[in-house]
Amino acid sequence: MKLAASLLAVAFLIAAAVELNLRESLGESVQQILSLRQSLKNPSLKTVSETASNITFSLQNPYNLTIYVYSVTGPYVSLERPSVIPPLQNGTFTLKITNFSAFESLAKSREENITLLIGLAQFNFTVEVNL
Amino acid sequence: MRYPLTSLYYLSVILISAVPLPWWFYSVGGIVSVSDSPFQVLIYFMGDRLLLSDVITFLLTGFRIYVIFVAIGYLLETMRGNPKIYSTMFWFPVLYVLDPVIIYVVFLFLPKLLGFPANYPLLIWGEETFTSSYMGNQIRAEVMSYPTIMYWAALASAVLYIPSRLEMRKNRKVMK
Repeated sequence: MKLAASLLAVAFLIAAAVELNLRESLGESVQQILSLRQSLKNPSLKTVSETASNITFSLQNPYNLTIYVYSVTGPYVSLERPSVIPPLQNGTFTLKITNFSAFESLAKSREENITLLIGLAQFNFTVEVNL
Repeated sequence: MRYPLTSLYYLSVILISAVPLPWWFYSVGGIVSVSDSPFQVLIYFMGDRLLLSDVITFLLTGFRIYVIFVAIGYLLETMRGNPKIYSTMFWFPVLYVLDPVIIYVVFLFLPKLLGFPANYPLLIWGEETFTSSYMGNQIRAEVMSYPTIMYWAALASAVLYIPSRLEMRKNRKVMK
């Protein structure tokens, strides 16, 4: 009985392996993991507009997950409102500048470091960005 | 029928192994989610379905077919009054609490492969907050792990194995 069942299972595996082209799908799986590894290293934060009172950033969401920008802390800046970026879409968030001249001198000397609290689905982390 | 409990056990084994639903669900902050059973695996990483999980599921389907046909054969034998012992589907649900341990080992290794070090809490059941710091940045995620209704059904089927063995022993003594 067990022998018959084993033969049947093996027959299914061989037939399906030929039909679905197992080697190709294995190759695709490896390719997918490699490309995921690549996309993890691609942050895409861009400045859209900059005025004396605020800066707007654009964030491209490369994942099939929602990205949340919960808070931003740093000298002379604060987040206008929390931002939600839907899966595979572009979103923006705006920083309010409380003291422009102080902010500008810090930014020019490359000392303006802000900390973003970002959520990737339920995975929350902080990122430090130099403006 | 001389072996009603054994027949019921094999019938439940056929049903449990034929239903394509996961037994256990596991999620790390929603960026990695795994739902699996001994016969199938579905892994989502960063919201994308991992194709590798389809390949694994395909191989496990071979095993599913084997279990179903052994159970059908043994059910027919049992109904003819010649019961046989098949304990695989007893041990699977009982030992399935080891599944989160296996996933813990796998996901200790996977982030390293993807190039970011991380530690995951060893969690058998429930929800836990995982916090870590990586290059000065704080990480906080909800880790979830829980069995599905399908798992309880499989465990109920496994429980039937014990009276089925007692029934076989009793009937053999009567025959002697």
